[in-house]
Amino acid sequence: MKKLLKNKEGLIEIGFRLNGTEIKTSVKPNETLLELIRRLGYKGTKKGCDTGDCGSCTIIIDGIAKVSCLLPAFYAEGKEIITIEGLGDVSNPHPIQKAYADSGAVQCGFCIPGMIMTTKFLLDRKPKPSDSDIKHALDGNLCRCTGYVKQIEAVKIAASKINKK
Amino acid sequence: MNNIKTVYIPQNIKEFSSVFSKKSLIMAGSTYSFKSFEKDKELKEIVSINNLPLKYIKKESNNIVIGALSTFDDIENSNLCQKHFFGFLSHASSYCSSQLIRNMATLGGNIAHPNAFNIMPVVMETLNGKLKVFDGKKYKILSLSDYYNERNKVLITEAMIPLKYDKNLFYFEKISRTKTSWESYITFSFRADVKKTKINDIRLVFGSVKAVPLYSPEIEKEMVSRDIKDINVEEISKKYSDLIYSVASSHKYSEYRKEVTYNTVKGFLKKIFGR
Repeated sequence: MKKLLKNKEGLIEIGFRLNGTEIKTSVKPNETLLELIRRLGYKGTKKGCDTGDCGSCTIIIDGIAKVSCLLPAFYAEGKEIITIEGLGDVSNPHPIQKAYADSGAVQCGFCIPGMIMTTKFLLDRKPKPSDSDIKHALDGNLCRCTGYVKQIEAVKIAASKINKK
Repeated sequence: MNNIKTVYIPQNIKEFSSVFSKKSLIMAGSTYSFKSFEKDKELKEIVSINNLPLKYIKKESNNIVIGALSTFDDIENSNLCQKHFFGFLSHASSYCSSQLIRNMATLGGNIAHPNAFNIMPVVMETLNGKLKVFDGKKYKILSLSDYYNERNKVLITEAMIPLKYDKNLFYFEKISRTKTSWESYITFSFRADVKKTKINDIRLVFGSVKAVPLYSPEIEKEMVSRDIKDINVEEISKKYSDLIYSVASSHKYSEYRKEVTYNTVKGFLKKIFGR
């Protein structure tokens, strides 16, 4: 049985893979995974509602999109985690990131990392999603700027680009 | 939670039994547990059960058997759940909050933390589902109500849903501010077995009324084995509407919930009676 024990400093030691890099770190028992990720410098994952409602803290854990604000940091032990930084960057964007930018789906941008991570989860599972699949998948990612039309369009563009590859 | 000394991550039920204690917090999907206990200073141990082999959906001796760690997303997208009960289980699961929460929230957790808004207890009650639980030494099978009497002493390992209701008529609706709202004003989960002009069996369950699902064996009895032309749909609907009370008398949705119950029950009964 795996046991995570508190060390002398009152912290729990964990190990996991973050965007392909092995991480060994210590976490507070009541620290959230979102707080840990941001503390490690991956600030693309945003803190929004902190109650699992807005989706701006979405990350992919072992292939499944989840909200990191509801998870304890020690949950990461032994897991494979991908954040928005693990997909691509300005010089080398992922097709989903490019599709969001090209389709004008981004306004203030705060919710977009979460939306892109959910889109990645959706397209990995369903490469040719219907409109209703997209709406259903993105139902936990809230945007207060643009509405959702452009984002649905972005997912369709991303899907067609990825499928052409 | 800052006083946590150990986090156990058992890999199987045997390991789980060696650390199972009433004082420890059992954590699975974490949509409820972590935030609720974040400030709990008394908590010393957490048992994270995510690695237990309880994530499956299968057909077994006239039941659909769903492992307690199956998420709402697993149930929604399961071929077995889509195929049986006219997709009722999948459809109901799709009403659990958002995709991101459906990816995390487990069947076991949704039943273990009784809350008026929870979907799975309502679904289980509709389908007369039973729970297989582990008490630290042995397994036993419990009804939902028996489970709630001893829920702090046992771990749900699976839900067993009898296939004898497979060809019943079903209706599920969660009335809420938005489809992804965790909270609901009221949840309807109905099942009926109608043969020609008689009701063989019927179960009308209501969620978000009290901590556990609400249904009335008395009103159901009034309909069973009777010819549908002898059943006064308006009267039955009114009886159900009268059951829908509010915890607070000032509840602003109180009248709305009664009215929507009356209309929904009436609509369902008229539909199954072919009127």
